[in-house]
Amino acid sequence: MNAILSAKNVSKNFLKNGISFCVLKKIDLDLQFGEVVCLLGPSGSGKTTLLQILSGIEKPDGGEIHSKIKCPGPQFGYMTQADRLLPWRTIRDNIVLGLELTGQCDYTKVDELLIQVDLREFASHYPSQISGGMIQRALLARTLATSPEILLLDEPMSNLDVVARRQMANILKNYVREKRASALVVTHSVEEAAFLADRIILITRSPAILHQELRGDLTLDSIMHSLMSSLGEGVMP
Amino acid sequence: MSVKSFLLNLVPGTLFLLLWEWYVHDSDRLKFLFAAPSLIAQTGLAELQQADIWKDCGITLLEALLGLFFGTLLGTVSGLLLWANRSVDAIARPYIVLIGSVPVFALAPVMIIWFGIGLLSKAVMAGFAVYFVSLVQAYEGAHVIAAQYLNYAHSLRAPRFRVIFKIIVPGSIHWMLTGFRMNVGFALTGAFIGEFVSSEAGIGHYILKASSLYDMPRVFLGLLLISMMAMALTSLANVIQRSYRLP
Repeated sequence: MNAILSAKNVSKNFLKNGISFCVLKKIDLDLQFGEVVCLLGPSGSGKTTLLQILSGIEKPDGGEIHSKIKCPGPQFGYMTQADRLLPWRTIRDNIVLGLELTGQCDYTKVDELLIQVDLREFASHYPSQISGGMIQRALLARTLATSPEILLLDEPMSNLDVVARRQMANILKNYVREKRASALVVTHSVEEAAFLADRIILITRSPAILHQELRGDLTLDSIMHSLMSSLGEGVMP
Repeated sequence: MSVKSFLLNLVPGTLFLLLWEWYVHDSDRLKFLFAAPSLIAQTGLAELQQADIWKDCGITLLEALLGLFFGTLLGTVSGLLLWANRSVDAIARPYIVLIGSVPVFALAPVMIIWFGIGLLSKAVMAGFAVYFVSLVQAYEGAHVIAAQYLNYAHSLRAPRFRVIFKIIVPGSIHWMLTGFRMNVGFALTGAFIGEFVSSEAGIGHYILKASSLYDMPRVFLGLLLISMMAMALTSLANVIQRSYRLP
């Protein structure tokens, strides 16, 4: 088995008003070396919770997580929807933050990343002085700055326009190819999944169960067809 | 501030002083009880030419500044340590609430016995008065910053000391400076109360001496001077806080 990260029978419940809600139900998932997997499913289907569990930030109620690298840790690049840049740091200093926090002294790749995400001109700006899309790009650059082997990205391109989205997806694909890293990307954009993924995992609405895996030639039509049929068979109202 | 708003600000104060002057002007008894703005001004002009009043101001200011600096520093460090260590926080919290609820006035006799009637006891009282505000501000600031920005640091499993110095401290500075600004008044109060209880110099001592002689113009002059000191220190704290305003 060549999985760098795997989940076995992972379940998670949350308490709401004293009632237990099952969010994830016996999820099995693995992430191989050098592949990009997209987790596709409707809002509220537990994708973010699954990512939190895989990143080690949240504990599962049942099941196990196995990882070939220390989790959480500097080799994990975890980018959440709730991530924010530090408002008192410039964009460059924000991208450097991960290196500073993990005690890495080589900042040379930061300038390269700034060019890649097209933010070199805004390096000395503060987050309040740039747009939401630029912030999203800076967050991705910050995540990549520590050279993680596993990327767990929760809707990393949600605030971007079409061009920037494709640009970021290319950066991500190049990073995975060059670094032989692995990425698990949560998205609800079928186009994004079709462009990025080597494999797509469809997830049904709460409680999340893995519905179907799509491999091989992933086209928009084939993904849409599978997604619609999975929603039809799921608990979507 | 525009000239117009400055002049508008002066109106209530000027009216109050005119009313005060008019109310006491033809009664020696009222002048004895309430003094008069003109008498206070005359006394002030005469007193400010003497070295003693400047020395008193300097001593009170020094006591307040020493207390403000060390009290803020210790309070801030304590607040951050409590945030960083939940077990210490849980153990220390009831004691902090207990000690923090002791009025600074009640501690004055103890401080005089422990540290004498000189500058040190007043500085310690000023420090005590500001310590808890700084602690609470640093603690709350750290909590707010942690809730907003620590996800990323946790995902990297960053060492605690780096998280504190790279994220918590710079993020909480705004909170700490707000505490510092609030503390200016508390520091002066602490120093003033210390001087009031027992002292050989300082504005508190000046007011106490004047009031024991029923010298109301000097009493009001002392009050005016301590208010001006508070305003100057608050302005300084505002300048410091503004210099750290986020872009």
